[in-house]
Amino acid sequence: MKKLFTLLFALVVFLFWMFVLPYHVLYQEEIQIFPYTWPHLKQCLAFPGGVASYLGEFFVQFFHVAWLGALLLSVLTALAQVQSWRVISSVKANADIVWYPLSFIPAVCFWAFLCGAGNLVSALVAFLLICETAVIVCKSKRDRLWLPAIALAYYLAGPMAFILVVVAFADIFAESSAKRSAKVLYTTLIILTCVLVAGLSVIIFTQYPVKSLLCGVEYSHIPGQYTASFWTAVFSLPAVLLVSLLPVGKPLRNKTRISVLVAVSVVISLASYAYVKKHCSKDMERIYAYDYLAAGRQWDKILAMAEKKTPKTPSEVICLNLALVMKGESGDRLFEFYQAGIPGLFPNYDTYVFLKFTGSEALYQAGLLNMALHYSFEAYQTFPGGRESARHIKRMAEVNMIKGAEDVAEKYLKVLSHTLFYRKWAKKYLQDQSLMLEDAEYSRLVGCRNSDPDIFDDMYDYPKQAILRSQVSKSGKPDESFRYLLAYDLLAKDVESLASDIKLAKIDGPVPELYQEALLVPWITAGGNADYDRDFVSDKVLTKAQAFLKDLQTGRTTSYMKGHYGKTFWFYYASK
Amino acid sequence: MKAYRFIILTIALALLISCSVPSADKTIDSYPPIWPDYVGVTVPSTIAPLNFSFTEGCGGDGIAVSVCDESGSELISLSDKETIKFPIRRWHKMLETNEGKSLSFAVTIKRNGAWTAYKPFSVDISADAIDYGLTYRLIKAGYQSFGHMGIYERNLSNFRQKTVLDNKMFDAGCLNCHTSNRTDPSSYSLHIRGDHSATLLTRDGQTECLNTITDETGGFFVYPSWHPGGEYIAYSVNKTRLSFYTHTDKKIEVYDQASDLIVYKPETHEVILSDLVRRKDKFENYPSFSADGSEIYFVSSEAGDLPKEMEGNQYSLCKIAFDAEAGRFGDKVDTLVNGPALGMSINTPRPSYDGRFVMVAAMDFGTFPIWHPEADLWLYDIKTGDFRNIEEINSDCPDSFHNWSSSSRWVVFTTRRDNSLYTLLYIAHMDENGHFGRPFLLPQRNPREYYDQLMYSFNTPDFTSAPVELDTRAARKMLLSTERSRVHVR
Repeated sequence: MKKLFTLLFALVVFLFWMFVLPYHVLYQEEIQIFPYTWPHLKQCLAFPGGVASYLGEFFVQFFHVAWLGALLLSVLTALAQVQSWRVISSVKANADIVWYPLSFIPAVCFWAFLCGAGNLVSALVAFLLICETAVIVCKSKRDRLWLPAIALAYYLAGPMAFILVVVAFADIFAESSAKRSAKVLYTTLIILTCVLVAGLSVIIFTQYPVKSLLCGVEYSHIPGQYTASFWTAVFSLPAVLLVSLLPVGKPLRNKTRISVLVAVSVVISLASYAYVKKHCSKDMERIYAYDYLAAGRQWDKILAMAEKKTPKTPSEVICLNLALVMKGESGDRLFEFYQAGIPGLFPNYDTYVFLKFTGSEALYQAGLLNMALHYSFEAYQTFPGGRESARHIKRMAEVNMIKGAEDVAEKYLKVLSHTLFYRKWAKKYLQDQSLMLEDAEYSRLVGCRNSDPDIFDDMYDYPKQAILRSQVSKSGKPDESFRYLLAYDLLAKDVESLASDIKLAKIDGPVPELYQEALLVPWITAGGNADYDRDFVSDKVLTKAQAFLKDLQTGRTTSYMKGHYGKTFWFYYASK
Repeated sequence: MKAYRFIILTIALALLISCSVPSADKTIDSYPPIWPDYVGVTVPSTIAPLNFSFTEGCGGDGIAVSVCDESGSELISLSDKETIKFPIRRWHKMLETNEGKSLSFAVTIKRNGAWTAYKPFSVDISADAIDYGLTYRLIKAGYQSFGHMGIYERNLSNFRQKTVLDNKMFDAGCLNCHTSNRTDPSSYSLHIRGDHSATLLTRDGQTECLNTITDETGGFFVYPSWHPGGEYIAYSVNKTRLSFYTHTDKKIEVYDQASDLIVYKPETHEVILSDLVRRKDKFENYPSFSADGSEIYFVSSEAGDLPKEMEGNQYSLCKIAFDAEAGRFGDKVDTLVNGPALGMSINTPRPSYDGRFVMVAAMDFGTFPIWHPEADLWLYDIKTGDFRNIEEINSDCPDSFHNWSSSSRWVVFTTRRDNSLYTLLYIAHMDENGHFGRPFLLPQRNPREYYDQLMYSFNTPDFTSAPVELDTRAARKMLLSTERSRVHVR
């Protein structure tokens, strides 16, 4: 019966991560790196909680594959429930089954905690290590073992070892046969151990703020920042344990027990649903999805997502525009979707970290290599907690290979060659970096190496339009850089530049309609009494422009204009 | 009895494996392909073991070394699959007994089961003493943002690195150069940028946090140099900016849009000014007190419209007298080396503590050598006025940020010669005539593993004559408080 409950719970958790927040799982892997090296292990062993952190990172590396990540998360969360019950039943021998549903509460709390963007699996691992320690000591029936166990748990799992202290007190006081004096003695010794451990930690680990040492160095990407979901997860087991120890009077009759069990199970299930839902952000999931798909060059999926629900956040819009450019549809479909000006194409430099991650993808595909490197580096450098990120190390390796900086690329490739999922890719290029020329994307971007006279940025941002123009002038191809340049002109409402930029490369086939519409803007502005470039403008677009002009002159309402011309450049041009 | 035999056998086997150098199947008349390249370097007798591996790509699957003294007696022989790791006690004993002499390293490398012997190379053991250790900053090799970084101390006799300050303690503020007074760690100046910005100044064990902005000077104190007596510190005050190259071969240019020099007297919190080093038409930078404290070396360029006129921004090596008794600047600036006339920009002057030389970093233009591949170290002879490129220690990559040991016989400098982005530390020996021995990379227990996995650059290195004693908790408390001692212009 108990096993069935646990298996059912694990299945629900698996389905949740697999189908509700799969991109959240994938994102967790992207922002860490787990190299199988001695220095990395040594680094983790050098602070309290480092072992849990190391194990957490070990598990997260498998999140590279969404279903594997979901499976691991479900196993770890189910283990949290099993361990919670083992702790309860170790402290309270022959614990009544009626308390069993309570053991799901800590697991649900950690499940909700892991829905938070910056929260780390290492916190859950720490919890499991502490529970296991608690069970071992409880079963040994030797109260003196609590003292070294607390110190060891602090080193292995960090300050979450506080849970062990509560379990120790509960265990000592739940033991009715022990002498009162022994209880007082062990309580005092445990308190002294806690003070000693905390004091030594503050003295030894001087590079960490006291708050981090006492609240956890690696439970969150942002050290020192602990959310309500963190504290709820930490205090859940002590609370459940104390509740289970409450005297319940006479033993319940079988029928009553079943009724209570069902009632408690239903209440906990409903509360868990509401609690996890509260912590599950579908908006963030969509942002992660766009970013992940953009990094994986899955342009069709991005367009399909956008067609279902128009993206509105800057990060989503950047990915959508990237997909439109890569699919060669930016000249026709750019204004089918919400647009946010130039920052929707390339983010400004002074933006938040995540947008730089996404922005780096767009800059990279546009061939703005130095910028892509800059954004990627800054994003990973300023990421809270100062962790390395496999995705961004890979990006730096890629860009440096493309730039021809082989020795720098080699540095990053070597780091990646010690990982599980990036090893094969890294080793291939470590052997011979020129193999990148066999890759269509890398080969295209090699053509974007810029050896023109330097163009200086005033401070942080880059003259993107000028660099794109310089690249297109050099290549003369209607490639991604060209499409980005014209998209830039369109979004900047820079009709004059578009008129000259469109001549930098020979467009294969018909000229995309949005470019034609832009070329007709001076004609519309002049009330149809100006010349336009007949080589580029088709009769169909001209007819549409004539209708637009007529509607404009007759003073049609905005909603009418939006209904009829909302997907044209003219409507975007006329809007503020 | 069986267990006893087994232990003896295991120990004997281990000794046999670790000490025996296999006989070579063939011999090559060239130096062995090893990394770090310690061929022909000069080292102090107290240096940590020069552990090394065969270079990647040489196809090795085993390496052995036999170290002999000048008489040809074998002192140590070792072999390993990848990295030669000398036992630290035997290493130190070997260096100590061979101080002032040369050691010969005969390396054989195994490939596909066959051993190849290479031409033995020598390592000179200098009798000139080096300081206890180094201090340096480890920082990500990137652009303008600063994530995690720290200031560390490294014992040069072993591989121990100790954290002096870590910016995790200060909510990720930027830790600037940690500058002690002629390698004495009891006095240092350290500026911290970010939300808790301050100049942390420790003098004879007394620490205080300074707010160094005044109405007259306008900005924080930046590049420091201590007067040998410890009563004054010369600083630059810079308005620094960064720009980024779109050119794919370059990344960043760091430059000043204004910079002046001042001298600060910690005892009275006074700032001493001179119009001669605060000219509007000049950028003065990188002050450095001379060995006797009677002069301040610095660099100076014409003020320009930067970054537009970046390539014309060239600095000269200059000096100005300083009267420590009166606490006053001299009344003229001497130009020692005219940078623009030589087509170069001279930066970061560091006078040797024996008063013989000034070492500088020189490049084509600008004021931040680390981002200039052409940056090299040059030596100015104070006696003769000779100015030469120290070719024996320079590379094709940026060679810059250097400091002298207290004996003025060793220099530590940063270079990107190993991978053109991540700066590593090299140490070079200088003889009494100003000639340098081949520099060597800061030794590590397993250099390949350490340097390959390190995602930080070494930066702002200096020698330290003793371990740095800093109460980091107290320093943190001071920095996180809002209390700052104000400085004022005399």
